[in-house]
Amino acid sequence: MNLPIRLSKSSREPIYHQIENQIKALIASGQLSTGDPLPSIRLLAKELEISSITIRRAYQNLEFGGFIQTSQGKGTFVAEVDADMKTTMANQAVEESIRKAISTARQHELSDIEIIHLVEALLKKEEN
Amino acid sequence: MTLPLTIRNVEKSIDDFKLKINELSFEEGTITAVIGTNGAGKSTFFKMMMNLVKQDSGDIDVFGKSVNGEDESWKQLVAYQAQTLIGCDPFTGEQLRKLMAELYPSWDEQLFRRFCEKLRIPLNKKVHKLSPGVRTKLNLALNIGKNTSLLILDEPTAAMDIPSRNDFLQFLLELMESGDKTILIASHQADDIKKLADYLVFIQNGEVTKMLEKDSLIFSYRLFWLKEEPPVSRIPGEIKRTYKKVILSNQPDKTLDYLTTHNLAIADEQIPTLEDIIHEVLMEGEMINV
Amino acid sequence: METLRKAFWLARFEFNVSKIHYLILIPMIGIYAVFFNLTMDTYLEDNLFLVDILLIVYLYTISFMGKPKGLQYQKMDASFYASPYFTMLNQLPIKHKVLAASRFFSPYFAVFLGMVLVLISTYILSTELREAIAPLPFISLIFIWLCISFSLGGQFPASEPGHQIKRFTLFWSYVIIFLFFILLYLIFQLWLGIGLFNWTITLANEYPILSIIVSILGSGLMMFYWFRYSLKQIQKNDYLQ
Repeated sequence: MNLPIRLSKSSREPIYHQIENQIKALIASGQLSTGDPLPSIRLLAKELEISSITIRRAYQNLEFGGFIQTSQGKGTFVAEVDADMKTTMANQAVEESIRKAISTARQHELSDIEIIHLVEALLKKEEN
Repeated sequence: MTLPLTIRNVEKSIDDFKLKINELSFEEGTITAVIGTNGAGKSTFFKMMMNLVKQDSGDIDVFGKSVNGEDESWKQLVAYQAQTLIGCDPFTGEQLRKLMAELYPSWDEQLFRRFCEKLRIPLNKKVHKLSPGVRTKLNLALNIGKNTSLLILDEPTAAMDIPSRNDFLQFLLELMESGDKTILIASHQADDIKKLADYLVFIQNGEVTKMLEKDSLIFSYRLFWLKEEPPVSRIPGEIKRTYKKVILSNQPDKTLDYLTTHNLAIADEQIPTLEDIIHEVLMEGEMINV
Repeated sequence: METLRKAFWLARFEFNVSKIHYLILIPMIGIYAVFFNLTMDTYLEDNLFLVDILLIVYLYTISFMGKPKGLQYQKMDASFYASPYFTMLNQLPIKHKVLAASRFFSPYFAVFLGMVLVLISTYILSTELREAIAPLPFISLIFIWLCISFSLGGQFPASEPGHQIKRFTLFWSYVIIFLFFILLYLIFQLWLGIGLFNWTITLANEYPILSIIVSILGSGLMMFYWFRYSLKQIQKNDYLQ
């Protein structure tokens, strides 16, 4: 099974953290629901071309946070995550994206007002 | 628990070539890629682990047993694939299968058959009638069939076509799923290393490096695209500069510190590709400090 | 015993691919039997040295002939000679003792067949030989020659683990072969005044039982020596190929 995980080469965020957050985002958005199987550590390592040690670390953190469950010999599955948690996670994911956008804007030397105007303009476009 | 393979203070001289390994331990369930230029000593390194080449000094233990010792039982736990399949010319694949199945208690007939079918390996033809590519495939089929705890592969994908290579990687991953297998693989294919390896070991100028965790190694390097050319010829951490404004650093934090304090704007930044890092290590003699 | 059983099991793998090559032994046996028959008359009277030489050459030839090329001792790289098949087996979980012992079966089988058949054929063809030795002592003669063949022919299986061949190694081995024949000539033709084969006929005639016992002991020692030599080479060699 392919997970739509895209690792960023330019981010300073450690890879295992990126994986963790993206899987959390997939769960929050409902793309992964309770009981869905996750790829094995080796398979995901091959697909993302990173070491299985990194994947194991991300999976362990997710399991510790109660997002996924591993059962011996069967594999790893999405755990039951309550609605509140999902909302928090969704907010976090959005926040993360906006933060990235802000950082890009800063690189292009946009002021706060300019950024806010840009966001408002985009929101208006969306409505139409 | 005994480790699949440990090496301590091994030295070997052959004519004017010298190979030195300080200390390496391989953990169960991991895949380690051994990387070096042609003639760097990868094959000699592997052959020492199989007691085919005898070290001048130091210890090599496979599952806790010295490879030079009287007790040769450790050999049943290791499948070793040399670069070329020699001495098998007059035999057919089927005859070789019979030999391996008898010698290795862990032989997995079903796995072997599946591999041969998938890669379309003819078992009734004599080995000397097979093309080099098919010979390599047969060799791989036999080594995968052995289903041993430790698998040592010396450039297994060198003569293989792309679809077969993918199938082969798939089979290796399947083997690894059980979690109790350990693989050492020498390869010149960056793709193999990216898709399989957990750890990297470099051999350079006869020295074997320690085990480097692949992702930590990659993350210890960073490429910075600057908006303007820096005023000094070498900034902290810099190991290479291209197009005057692209800095490759092996100490990203230090470089970043310098750039911020000196108000040098970063246009973009990225971790380099594995190929770039391998190039730096092997060709430029970049010292590894992870 | 377990070592021998496993070694035999391993040797059977080669028999399967060597069958065709044993057929080459048949014309060889025929040619040599005819030659010995034609020369036996002169040999028994005048100790023609050529017959002794060819008998030795014959037993060496059959020791390595019964195998396909891939299993034979050959050049592996610039300075290393070995049997590629041996180097392959050496990578597998086979105890060194079993591996070393297994190398002896195939050449000894060829030598056994070749020696017994050539002697019996010559015995049937040559009236002179039949007059020189009766059937019962002739059995003792066969034993003596089998033991000589095993003693000398053991160097082929013992060589399979390989050697470093330096610049003059081949030259010196030719010198050794030459000296061997010179020594043979000096001892038998000059000193004892009787050919080697002729001398063994006398032994078989006069001490049939003792000859058998001494031959078996002697060849046993030689075989053990070759076996130890083979093990030593496995331990010593670096298989870089």
